[in-house]
Amino acid sequence: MSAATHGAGCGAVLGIVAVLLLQQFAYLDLTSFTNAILYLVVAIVIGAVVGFGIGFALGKRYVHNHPELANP
Amino acid sequence: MRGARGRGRWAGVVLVSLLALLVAVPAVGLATARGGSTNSPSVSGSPVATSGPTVLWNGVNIDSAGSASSALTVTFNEAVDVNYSWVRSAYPGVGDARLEMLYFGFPLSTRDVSPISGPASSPGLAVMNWTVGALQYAVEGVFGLTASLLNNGSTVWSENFYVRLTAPYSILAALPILLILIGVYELYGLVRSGRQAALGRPAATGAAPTTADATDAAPATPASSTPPAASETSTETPPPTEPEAPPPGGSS
Repeated sequence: MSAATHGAGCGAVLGIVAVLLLQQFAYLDLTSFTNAILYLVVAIVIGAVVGFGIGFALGKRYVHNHPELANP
Repeated sequence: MRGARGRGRWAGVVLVSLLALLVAVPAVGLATARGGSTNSPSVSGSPVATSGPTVLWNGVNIDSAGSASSALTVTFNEAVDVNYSWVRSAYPGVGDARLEMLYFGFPLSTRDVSPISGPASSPGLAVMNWTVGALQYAVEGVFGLTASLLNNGSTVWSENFYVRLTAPYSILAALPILLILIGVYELYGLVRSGRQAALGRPAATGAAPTTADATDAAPATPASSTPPAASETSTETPPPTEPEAPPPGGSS
């Protein structure tokens, strides 16, 4: 699993957590099934994309800071 | 170095927890500013003269809580008096008054009461003493409720409204605490996702890392049991044989 893929996974889970937390803190209404699924899907996509970018950047930086990992 | 990293890790966890608390605390003021705390018993409402049934939530008509922003607040351990009233001639045969709390479109809890019997000329009346029950230890936040009147199992009237369940200190419920812990864990995993770049990458100096925790491991050095490099044994080893020629005839 690459850094970008790992970041995307973490971002997707964070998206789900964010939606559920916003409902728990009374900022979001998850009464309707369709609305709730819509919120979740949008949050998962946004979280995965942002997480992918963060993971990709962190992976690049990690390899840059650890040149012994670079391919010979 | 390792201690500094550990302190930074814990500082991050504490920082995220504080941010979550900061998000939680304004929600109380927000709900109050929205006018959510309108379920005070001092607000004595009376059934509005409308054609449809009327439901009073601690004396407040649920018509005033038709959106999430105007949700009625239910404090921890609070019991709410819910009064249904309707015109019997308009809704004959009503045998059940129901209150459902919905989450993701599914009923999280359902309460039913039978209406008070009376002559057909008198208005229909059903009284329910509603509590969140054990759910108040698990969840908080805005939930949609459906008040309905049923006749032999079929709904003859229903109305949706919103309530806001509050937990002690605005946070002490199982689900938000669990979600915050999961969020902190995943945020920590996201911050450390760069280490995943070490997986599957052979190190230039020797052994490939087998775990993502490559930086915590000792620097990769050739082990004593490792056979010597090819350049050291080139004088003793026979030259490599020529690769075998492909069989004549090629592929068929």
